[in-house]
Amino acid sequence: MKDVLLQVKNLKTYFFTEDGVVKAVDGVNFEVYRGETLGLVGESGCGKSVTSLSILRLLDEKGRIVDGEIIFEGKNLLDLSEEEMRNIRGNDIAMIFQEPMVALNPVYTVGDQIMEAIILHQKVGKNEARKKAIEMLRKVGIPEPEKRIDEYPHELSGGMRQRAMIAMALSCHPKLLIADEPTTALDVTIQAQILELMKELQKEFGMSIIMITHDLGVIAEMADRVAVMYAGKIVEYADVKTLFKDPKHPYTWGLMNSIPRLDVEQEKLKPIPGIVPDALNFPPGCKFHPRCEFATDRCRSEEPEIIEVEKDHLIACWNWEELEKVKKIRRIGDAV
Amino acid sequence: MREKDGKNRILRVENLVKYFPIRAGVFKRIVAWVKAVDGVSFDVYEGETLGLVGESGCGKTTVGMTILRLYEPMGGKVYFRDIDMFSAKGERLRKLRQKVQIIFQDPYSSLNPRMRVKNIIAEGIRTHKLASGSELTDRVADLLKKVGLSPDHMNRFPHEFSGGQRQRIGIARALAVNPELIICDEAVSALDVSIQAQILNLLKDLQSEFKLTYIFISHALNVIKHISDKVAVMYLGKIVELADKKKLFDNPLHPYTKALMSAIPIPDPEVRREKIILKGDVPSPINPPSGCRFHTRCPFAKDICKEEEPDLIEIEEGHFVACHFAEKF
Amino acid sequence: MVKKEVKRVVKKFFRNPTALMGLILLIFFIIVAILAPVISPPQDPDNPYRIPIATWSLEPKPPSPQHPFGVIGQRDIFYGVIWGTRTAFRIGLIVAGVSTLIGITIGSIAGYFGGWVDEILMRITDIFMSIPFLVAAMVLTTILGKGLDKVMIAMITFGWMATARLIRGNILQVKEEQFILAAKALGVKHFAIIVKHILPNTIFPVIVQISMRMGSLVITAAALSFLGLGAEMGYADWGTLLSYSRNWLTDFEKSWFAIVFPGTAMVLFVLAWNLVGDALRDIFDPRLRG
Repeated sequence: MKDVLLQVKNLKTYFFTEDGVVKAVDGVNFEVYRGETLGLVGESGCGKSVTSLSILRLLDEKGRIVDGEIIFEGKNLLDLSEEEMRNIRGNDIAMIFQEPMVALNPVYTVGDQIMEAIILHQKVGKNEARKKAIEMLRKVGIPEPEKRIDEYPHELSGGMRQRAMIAMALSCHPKLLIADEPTTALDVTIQAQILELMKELQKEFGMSIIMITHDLGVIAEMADRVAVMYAGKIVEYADVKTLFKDPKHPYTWGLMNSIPRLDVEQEKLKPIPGIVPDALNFPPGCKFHPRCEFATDRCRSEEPEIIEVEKDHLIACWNWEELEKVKKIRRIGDAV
Repeated sequence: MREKDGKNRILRVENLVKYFPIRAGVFKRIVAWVKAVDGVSFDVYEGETLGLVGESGCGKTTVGMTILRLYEPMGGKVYFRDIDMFSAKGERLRKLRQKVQIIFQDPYSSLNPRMRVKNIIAEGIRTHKLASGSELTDRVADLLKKVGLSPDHMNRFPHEFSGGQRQRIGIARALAVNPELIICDEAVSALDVSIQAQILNLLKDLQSEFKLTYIFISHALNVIKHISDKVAVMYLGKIVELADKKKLFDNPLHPYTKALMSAIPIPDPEVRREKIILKGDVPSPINPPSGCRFHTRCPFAKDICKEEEPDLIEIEEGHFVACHFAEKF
Repeated sequence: MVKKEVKRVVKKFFRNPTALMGLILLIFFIIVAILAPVISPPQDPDNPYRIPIATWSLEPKPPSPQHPFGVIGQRDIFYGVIWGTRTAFRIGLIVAGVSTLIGITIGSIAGYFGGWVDEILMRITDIFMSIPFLVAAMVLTTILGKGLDKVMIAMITFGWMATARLIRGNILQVKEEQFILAAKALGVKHFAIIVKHILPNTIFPVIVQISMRMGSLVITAAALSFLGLGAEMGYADWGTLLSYSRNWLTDFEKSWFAIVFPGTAMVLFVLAWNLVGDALRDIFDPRLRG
């Protein structure tokens, strides 16, 4: 049996805005095992980033976790005091962001910021911290770390900044790293470097990663298991190979059909019709039904629970068997 | 108009150069130049899509903007059919602009937030006096239908629409003046995957319906592959490889193109490829490396690459590569 | 269409209680200003802004049925407050209007043309901004002489810089927006781009700014009056009224009414404009429409 590091149970995070209640995350369940990478994938507004901010309890004043449990190494993070939570952040759970300038303070040198985290959490002296910081910068592949440590964030290129942020996040050897679209702002050749680096560091430190992205390619490359989110819910949850070979939720299936592929010839893409629903105005029933070609009356009125339809393959869909039929016909078609 | 394989050339770009000055000090003296586009040439033929791909800072967007004279060129020539676009002025330039349109990346910044959709789409029609009165309203309604929106949307403001819908409005605005060539500048990059596919399909449909020619600028190689007939790969202000799509993707010859292709994550965990991970960052276009601009990151660089800049030469029919060792690969 | 727009604005105002309060206050002040001759009939119809002498005693007199706000410096405070409303509007409208016009002109020239023009105009703006306002106003009124019109000239001379900067910044920002490029690419003429695209996206913040400034200008004028630089003695102006209490500052019990009534009028006036300005900002922002 694999060892569970983090378990999120029925998490509900709502934002109470002037225009109404935004149910950004509405009953999400998943677990992260030690040493693995869980991919959280979905389009903008699906709640993937809010989920990660909820784990660290870093929501703004409008957002509130209204229900659920976040169990990290046996402790419910939602029961901890702000003080205890601060100790967890950076030390046990670290986070990296899409835009490194968000996480790096422009008025301090890169070294200052990494050392601050080390001194705070590891209770070592300044010289020791500096040594560790240089070591960390070297590990993330920043050339001449002895020199770079005294540079300010704006003196680094985009890729180097991302490396510096990773160095900062990993400086205290966290058990869990939450990476929120860490390569979205980067060029592909730099993205390849950073993804490679993350894989190496994961092997070295043995940490778990929650990889949040909209890019199915990145997921395929990085994740061991994947949770697909749509409109605040997980609609499909499976290991990465199963998910890509045999997507069972119409949304996942549609998503995979709508990406232009480098490795496959496609005459025309098969997009998902319609628009991503407005979080203030989610449709009743299954939130995907207005865009789903298999939707029935039941889908329009009743929200499906996420259930295990095959071993370790969970989906939230009333009508998944219809999709299976279509897939079967397609397969026969392809074979002919 | 010269012909090639029975197709008419619609645009010729010859040795296009665009530098941006960097000014500093009290007197705003020019202290350096950003060499955004440094001698780019290509032809575009009627009805085809030329993909322009490269990473940030390679100059692909500047090429598009300069063709349209949204940036003033510093050198080179652009001919639309046989008209010299860079010498056109005043009324002649305005007429030319009707023929060449642009679709922007940012669906938020590209629509005036204080104008209603009808006026946004009608602006070009009014400017070029293509229609007025009820005819104009009909035309706007028709355009909205063509891009997959409802004519009822006419009186709304841009903020009432999602990103994908706004992009459709931007497309309708460009279509309104009956252009022949449309430059799509990262037109789907800001959109969600499921919406991106809708817009790509729409662009393809419109192309065949209106016999449009596209220059499709993007950093996403997979999108470029999907939509283009011909592809030009740019690196630091230069085209490093230019070929028909099939030739380029089946047999990339420039080491940069190869690295770029191998760097794109494939959405299939079963596919495991040999990856070429390039070292270091893209150098600054203010001070591009000597010789071949790619030599600082190229795994195959030799001494000659540091000294001599390779020309873009035809290695096989219709396949141009700027690399000293292209023939060896 | 226009009807719908008006309806929207009205609805917006009514949905926001603070905005509604600001609007009610403002309407109240406008009514007082219009009805001043009815509320407080002037003794000398040719010179209504002169507060009539109420008593020959120099001592302040507390509120009484005859002088509901009391008397200070021999003048009836009630009369001064009522007619002072007109003065407040005059100062606000003229100073805000003229200085905004100057600001818009200078700011938009700098923003459109950029380069050297921008550099020179903005350095001039900086010089004006670097002079402490009160000192400059004092020097100018000393040169020009006493009187409300002189105060207004001083306030206009040193009051246009914020608008100039605001409009220039806005133009520089809007110039970079892609919809301006799109309009250029469509072949839209330069003048049409300015009128249709640049101005509508830059002018509304300025209108909001005017509304916000209306109130604070009255405070500034009052401060100048209090320092003895403002209107001549006996002029119906809130600041001048306040300046009468200068001699009785140590004896608050005897002169509280001379501070409280004009002071309250001033605070409410500023509050009204600020609340309305806030509401206008929300209304003009198309992103907040709906």
